[in-house]
Amino acid sequence: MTRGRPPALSADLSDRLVEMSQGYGLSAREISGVLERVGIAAPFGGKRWHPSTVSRSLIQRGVVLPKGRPPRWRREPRPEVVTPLHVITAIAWRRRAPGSGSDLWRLRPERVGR
Amino acid sequence: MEAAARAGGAVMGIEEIDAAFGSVPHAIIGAVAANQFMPARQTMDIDFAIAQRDVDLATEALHAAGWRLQHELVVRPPLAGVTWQSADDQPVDIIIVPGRWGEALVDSAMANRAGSVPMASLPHLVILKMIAGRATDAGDIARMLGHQDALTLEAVRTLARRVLQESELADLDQLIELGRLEYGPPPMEGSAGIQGPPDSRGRNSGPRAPGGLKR
Repeated sequence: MTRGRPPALSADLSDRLVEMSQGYGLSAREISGVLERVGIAAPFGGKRWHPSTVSRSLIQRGVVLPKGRPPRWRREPRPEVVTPLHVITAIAWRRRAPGSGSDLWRLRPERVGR
Repeated sequence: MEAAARAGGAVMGIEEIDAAFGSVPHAIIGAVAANQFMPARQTMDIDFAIAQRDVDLATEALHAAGWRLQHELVVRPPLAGVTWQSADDQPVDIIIVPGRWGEALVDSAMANRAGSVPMASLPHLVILKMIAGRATDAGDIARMLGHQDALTLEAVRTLARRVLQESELADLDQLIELGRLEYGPPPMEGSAGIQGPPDSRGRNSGPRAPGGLKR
């Protein structure tokens, strides 16, 4: 149950909240965390976004919020093998930190999978 | 049918293929779905995802639609896949996604289909491709995310934290960096006082945009 007046958000930001809730399945708590980490100013001032602020905004847009905590989907740890994706991200790391990349990532034969 | 129009040549007849699933929750994935979020790449394949819980229902529905099971696909566990031949002899790859995140992938696509075909959402597609781990997937992730704004990227990371491990989240950040290198520096946009998202080392990335949603 959320009470109080709904926050006045820009149409763009309000649309984005709906997308994060309905399209991505994020909870109000997760969305408020996203907004804080990105640094978007809260509607009533400050940087802190309370989940109920997000909830009120979504309810105002007709979004039905799921009850309870967001599900945890942790899967089994996968074996330590090197995939093409690992190699590509290693290249990205080397480009990001020139001069240090060759020491940061080494392909060891025992880690190389299919 | 805007999404389908953006998805390129493989969309021809996609509604007919989609209809074969009946009421079984499913989502379009692969290049057809990825092309909604990046410069289109040519593809001959139409890939679908179903949740592991629905495998029996999907098999029943596809047999009833006159489809024939062809062979298993070679994909990285925990994913599995099979190739079917549709009633008009078109090969269709179906990826079987396990667990609750597989159910969330297809359920969110079905809930947001809005009269169109059910396309996987951006973060679900990114997570799926992170786990699939092929070179093509890495390229797709970089191109899908390299031009996204800070809010979208942080939302993708937040959902990915439910599924991916720490090392995979670091890989995701690297692919975002690769995508940014490909697209070049993002333009300034939006309104005042918005900081970029922190990168994997906790630093704030990029210039401060004057007020709106920073890329």
